[in-house]
Amino acid sequence: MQAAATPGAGTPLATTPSGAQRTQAGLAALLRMEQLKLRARPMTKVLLGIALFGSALFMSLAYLAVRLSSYGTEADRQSDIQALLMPNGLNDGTQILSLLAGILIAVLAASVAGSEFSWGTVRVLVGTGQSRVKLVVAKVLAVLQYSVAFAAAGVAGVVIASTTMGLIGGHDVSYDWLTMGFVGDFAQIFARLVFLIFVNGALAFSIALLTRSLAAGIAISIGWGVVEGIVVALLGTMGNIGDKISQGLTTPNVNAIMNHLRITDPAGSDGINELQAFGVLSLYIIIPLAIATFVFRRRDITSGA
Amino acid sequence: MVTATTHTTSDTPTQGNGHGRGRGNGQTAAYKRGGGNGKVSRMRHRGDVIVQANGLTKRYGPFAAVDDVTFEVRRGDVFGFLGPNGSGKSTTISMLLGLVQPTAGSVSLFGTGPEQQLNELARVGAIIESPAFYPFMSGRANLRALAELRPGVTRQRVDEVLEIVGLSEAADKKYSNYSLGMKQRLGIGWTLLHDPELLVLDEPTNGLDPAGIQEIRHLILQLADSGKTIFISSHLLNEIEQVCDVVTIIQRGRIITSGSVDDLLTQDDRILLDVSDVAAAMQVLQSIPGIQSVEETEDYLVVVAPEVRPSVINRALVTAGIEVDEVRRSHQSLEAAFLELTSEDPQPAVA
Repeated sequence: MQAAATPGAGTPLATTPSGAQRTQAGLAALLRMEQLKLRARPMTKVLLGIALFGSALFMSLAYLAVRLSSYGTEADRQSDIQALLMPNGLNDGTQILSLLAGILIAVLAASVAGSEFSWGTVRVLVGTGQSRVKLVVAKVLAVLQYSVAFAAAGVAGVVIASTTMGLIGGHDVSYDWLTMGFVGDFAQIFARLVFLIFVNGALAFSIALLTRSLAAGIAISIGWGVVEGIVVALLGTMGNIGDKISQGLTTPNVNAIMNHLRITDPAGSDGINELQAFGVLSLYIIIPLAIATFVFRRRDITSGA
Repeated sequence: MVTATTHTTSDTPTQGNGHGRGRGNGQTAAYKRGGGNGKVSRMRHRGDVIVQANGLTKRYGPFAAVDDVTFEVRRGDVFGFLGPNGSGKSTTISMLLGLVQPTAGSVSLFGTGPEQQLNELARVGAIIESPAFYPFMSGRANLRALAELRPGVTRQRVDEVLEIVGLSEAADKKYSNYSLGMKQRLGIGWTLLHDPELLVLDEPTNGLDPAGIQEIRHLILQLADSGKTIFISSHLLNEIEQVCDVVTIIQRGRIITSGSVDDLLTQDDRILLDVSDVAAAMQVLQSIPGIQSVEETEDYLVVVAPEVRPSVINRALVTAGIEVDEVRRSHQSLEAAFLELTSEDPQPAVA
């Protein structure tokens, strides 16, 4: 405590703050609050750094592995190297990024919801009488913004690494391919990438809000993919019915969209068209968020938990 | 149903505890000596009802944390909500602030009805239980971020509030590095940010050292002077006694009494004397009509004399050449009143 300070000395206590209104804040203000908190949080910077440097590291290691490998013919190795340089490097880069950023956003989204409970700050937020639904919507929008940010940081990492490896390796590095047509195509790929990342984020956020636990949000959302992988494998042994059931899980639908995260030669769709995959995964965003919001809206906020 | 409607003290002289109070915002306050009993009292005008709790009940299974609690707070009150730990204070406050849904009953703020409760919280500043802020942000950054919840609050106001609570120098220090006292003061700063009409402070001096308690008390009294209505919950009886005008006592989820602090600090029939010559004083006292008994204790001569004024006794003793160091009526402390009200085996106390 500041012993020397005399609280309130010489300061008007009842000044009306200029422009202060006796109304509740709007959604834009709540989103600004979330942005301020996330920008100030060291974890956010660390996660963005991992997205940037993690994707760059992956591309660099892949390049070195191919370059130093003696496996296959020289023509095969050159082909593999070309696949890692721009613009083809974006194919593998976005694939790995969808997994890496998916994990990173799960951590961030779970903390956006769960930390408010562990710090007890949820009492401050809700105790203002603010609409709980609006508080949740602002947080979800912040998670969406950071899904974009992680995707952008990751893509930047891929571009930087691919270009740098090309220059160091003495390959022909030119950006002739960077046309408006390419930008349009890549914008679609980027949107798919953000969507896949956000599915993880929304799931982690919903679980953290439901359980009031950051750890549960992270663990369940990341563990979900692992468990589903086993379930899908088991369903695969059940024939047609198993296949039908597995089409309702996230993994085959994520794979269906990941197949389109390519600038060249989109891969096959494993029986699930992209629109169907978007529909199914959208339900994995909407339903958990709706349940979590409904529970949070009615929940008693006691002692921070 | 236990009803604890606090009655107005506008016609009852009340004691200021050494802190004279003027009322801002057009409200008036006056202080005067209470008639005849020698008690310094505070008298003030109370405004309209701004918190009305009706039959508030919160049950967790068969356990009633709060049971049929009714009370009202009027504009300008410094309202003390008193009770032992676990008596239901924080649950009641949580229901006032919309954090906890009542099992039964309702809350109306500023006379707008229960359906407007959440909207009207925009006119309330509150800290509930221990203050909670974002540990990775400074005090200033915390208030700036949370100011987004309060439309129209400027950065200048944030700095102003930090000065009010004496945190200007530590404003850029991380909240996680704050002492408990600084955290409490930031909590009070948060409640002041939008210049609310009602402040709800739940255990505002919890965990503070004596100097910190004094600072917070000083701040609360300043806020009261500036015209704020203040609702303070505490289990620290001395704190409530020193800052509150009106008090409601809750125990095991039920209100057991409510009224002005002065009414609870009831006087008794005893007069306490500190004199130079006890034996001579005993003789003089026995000659004064109306004195029922005189008892010598370690500190005082205790005179039971319901009909005799202390000034009469003082004059008689001085006339007899006995030096009188102290003469005063005994009164019951809030602590004694509280123990008497909450204990099954009340302990008489002299203060």
